[in-house]
Amino acid sequence: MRDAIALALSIAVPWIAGTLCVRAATGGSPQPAAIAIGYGYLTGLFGVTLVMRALSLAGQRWSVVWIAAPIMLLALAAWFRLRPLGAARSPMRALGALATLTGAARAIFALLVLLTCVRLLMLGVEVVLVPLVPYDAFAQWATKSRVWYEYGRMVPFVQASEWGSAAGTMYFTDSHPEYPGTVPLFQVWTALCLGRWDESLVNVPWVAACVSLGIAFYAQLRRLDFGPVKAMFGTYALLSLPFLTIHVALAGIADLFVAIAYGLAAIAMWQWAITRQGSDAGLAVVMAIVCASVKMEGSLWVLTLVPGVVTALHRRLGLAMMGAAAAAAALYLAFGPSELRLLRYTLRTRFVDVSDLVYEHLFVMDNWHLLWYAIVAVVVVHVRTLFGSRLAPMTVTMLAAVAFVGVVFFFSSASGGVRDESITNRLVMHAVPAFVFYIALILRSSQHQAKTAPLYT
Amino acid sequence: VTLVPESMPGAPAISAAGGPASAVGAAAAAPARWPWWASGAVLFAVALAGVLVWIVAKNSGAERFGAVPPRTVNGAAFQLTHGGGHPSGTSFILESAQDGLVSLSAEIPPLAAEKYPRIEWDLRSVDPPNELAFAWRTRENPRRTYSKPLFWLSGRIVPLRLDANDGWRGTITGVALVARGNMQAPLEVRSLNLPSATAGATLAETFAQWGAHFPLKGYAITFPFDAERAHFMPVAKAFAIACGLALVVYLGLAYVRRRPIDWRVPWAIFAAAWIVLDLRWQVDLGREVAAAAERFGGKTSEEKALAADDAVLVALAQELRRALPPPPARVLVLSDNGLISLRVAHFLYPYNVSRNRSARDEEREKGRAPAPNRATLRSGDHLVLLFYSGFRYDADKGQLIWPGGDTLAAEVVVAKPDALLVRIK
Repeated sequence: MRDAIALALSIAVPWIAGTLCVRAATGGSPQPAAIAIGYGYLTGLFGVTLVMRALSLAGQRWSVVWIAAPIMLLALAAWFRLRPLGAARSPMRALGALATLTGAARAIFALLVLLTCVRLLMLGVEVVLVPLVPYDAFAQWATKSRVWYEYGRMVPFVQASEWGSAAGTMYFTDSHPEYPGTVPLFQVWTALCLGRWDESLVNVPWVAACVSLGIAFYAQLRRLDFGPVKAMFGTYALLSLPFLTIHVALAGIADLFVAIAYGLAAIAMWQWAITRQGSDAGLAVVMAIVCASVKMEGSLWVLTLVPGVVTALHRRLGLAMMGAAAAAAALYLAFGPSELRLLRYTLRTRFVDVSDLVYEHLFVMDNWHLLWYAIVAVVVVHVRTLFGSRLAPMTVTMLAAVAFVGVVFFFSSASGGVRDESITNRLVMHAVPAFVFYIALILRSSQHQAKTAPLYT
Repeated sequence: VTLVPESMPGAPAISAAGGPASAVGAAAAAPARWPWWASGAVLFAVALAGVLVWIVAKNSGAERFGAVPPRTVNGAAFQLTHGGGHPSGTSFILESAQDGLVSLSAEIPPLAAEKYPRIEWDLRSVDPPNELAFAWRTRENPRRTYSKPLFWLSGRIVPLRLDANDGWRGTITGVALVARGNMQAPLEVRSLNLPSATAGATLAETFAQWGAHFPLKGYAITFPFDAERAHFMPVAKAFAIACGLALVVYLGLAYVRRRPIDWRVPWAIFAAAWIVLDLRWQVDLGREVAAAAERFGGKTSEEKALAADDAVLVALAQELRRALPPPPARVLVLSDNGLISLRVAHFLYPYNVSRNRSARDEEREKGRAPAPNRATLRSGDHLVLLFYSGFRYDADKGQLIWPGGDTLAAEVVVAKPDALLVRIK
């Protein structure tokens, strides 16, 4: 029971604080408050890690009180800012339309909610029961969190080659000492709330983040004027994807957070492209920062948002930019050096054909249910509208994402990771929430969706 | 029965749900015999049945509707023809190779090859040999031996599908298993199964494959559905084909009959396929949770680790921890096996643990960690040696001895048959 309360506290403190802060920052905008709830958890949890980093820098040993105090103060400040706006009192406004549903639609909605909740419940049970399973988790993520929890601060991790000669005993090492500390800090925060290290329970942020993704996704779909049933189907579809759910069930590695943060950043950016509300841009920036802070690839994913922003500001310029990038890539392939070191990747001009493996993972196995078939079908059917003024920023963003994955898979040293199947689905997963929303955007703007038309005319 | 809906009883519900303005179609259409959602579901079901028929036709044997009983040859029924091993219960344990080869064979009651196109070996090994092959002999060509390589997938042998082109024809009279390379670990031959390949049995096998449990082991974080490679047709692909077929039929019927298209029907087809596919995954997840609850429920973090697959390593790490001074003592975990050292190191944190391997080392070669630089070892450092050949410890002299002849004084803290913990003096 004590553990349950501690875990609830570890989730509630950042979630409530994050929600209030997002709501306070966007209080004047007509966004549904459910968006603040959806975006609130990651925002709050990221805030917790910032406080932990600050305390570590200041030499103050971590404790729940030291970390929670500034977070709660922020939450309180946000609350007082919200009170005159009256915005905090209608947090579930997005769900109001449920009352207008007919019996059949309500039954479908209830079925989808039930399926989603049962799945999330099972994922929660799995996470609290199973010890750490993924290789990467015990090679480079939980190593840091275990050590940092023990010493109450971020003690340095160095390369194995430097470890031997490092002065003193407080220089640690693991498989990837250079990896960012945000995700380990999520685990340390949970362990601090628990009062002990438990390699199963420290992973509850993965479940909470998945729930928050569902809420944010649903709320953003509702903003697109999708009805509750369709928005719920989209949310259910996203949270039903086997590979995504496995990354919750086998919690402990950072990819799920990249996927959620990148997805929420892209969605907020696209909403900004539609509405031009500063609050959407703000949310996109916050989520982009979170995305860049959880994994090395996060920064590259954030870069794929830039063409979309440019296109939203000036469509022709954005499209020209994409065309120029494509031309530069073609020239590089033709005349560039055979190898080029970029961040952790080595780019190669030689094409490595791993398409059979990619096809197998996306279209044959059940990793993604029918998602990639749906994406191909929807994109092909609507190809003529994809670069129109309504969809161009979104299309350009997803093109940049596909280009990033394509370069990594087919023209980089990481193609070995595709061959041994260690990165194929994981890298793709980073873009999946954004892709699902992109499909929703296409359908929304589609004439097919809105009309029944005879095929023979 | 027309499958194209002509009235839309569900239209108000969907419109209220924020759905497309399909009421336009509803108003334009004539009265329908079936509601749109039922049309979608039925079309999908019919298309899926078509896909199943195709799968059965492609994977069943020559005698689709007769009585073809399955055949099983237990491991103990085989005779060793090369290498070392012995029968154990109903299995046969292969232990050692002779000249890099180990094999065993069995004479079997004659059977018609065309009736048994599928061959399943039930083998177990913690470290299987590099090359395995299934061999057979026919009554028609008794002086010739045919063979086909076997491959491991998710801890099992991928079932073989053989036809006349492979030499699987006529009457089979003898079967054999051949393993090449060093036997790092015993190979248990449990049985050779020749399942019935009638239409009914093939259909049942298809459903068994689609309903199979996918355990969430470590590899599941990257390729969870690896075992689907051995399926007649993975379920997602089958559902996608059925979905596509149903859509083509619906649009084709609408075109031929010059009826308006109700776009809700294609979406109903897609939603039905997705939900059924997902229900299978949901049930599988439920089985995983039930198994986890049985295995880990009510246990502390340490007890869970001891109930996991690598409990032996956990127990070893716990013993080492008891022998170590309090953290953050420096501990080097060295092993020729990267995974073993990684797991033991994990259980030793928050000690200051190193495996003396960088990420690049692990990418380049997954084997032995290099011997540590002698100059970087300090008095008080601890070394855990687990099946490690990078240097050796001379117990008589109390020295670590590097291959180049360098030595360093060290004392034993824990000595076990499979592990050694020493402290630098």
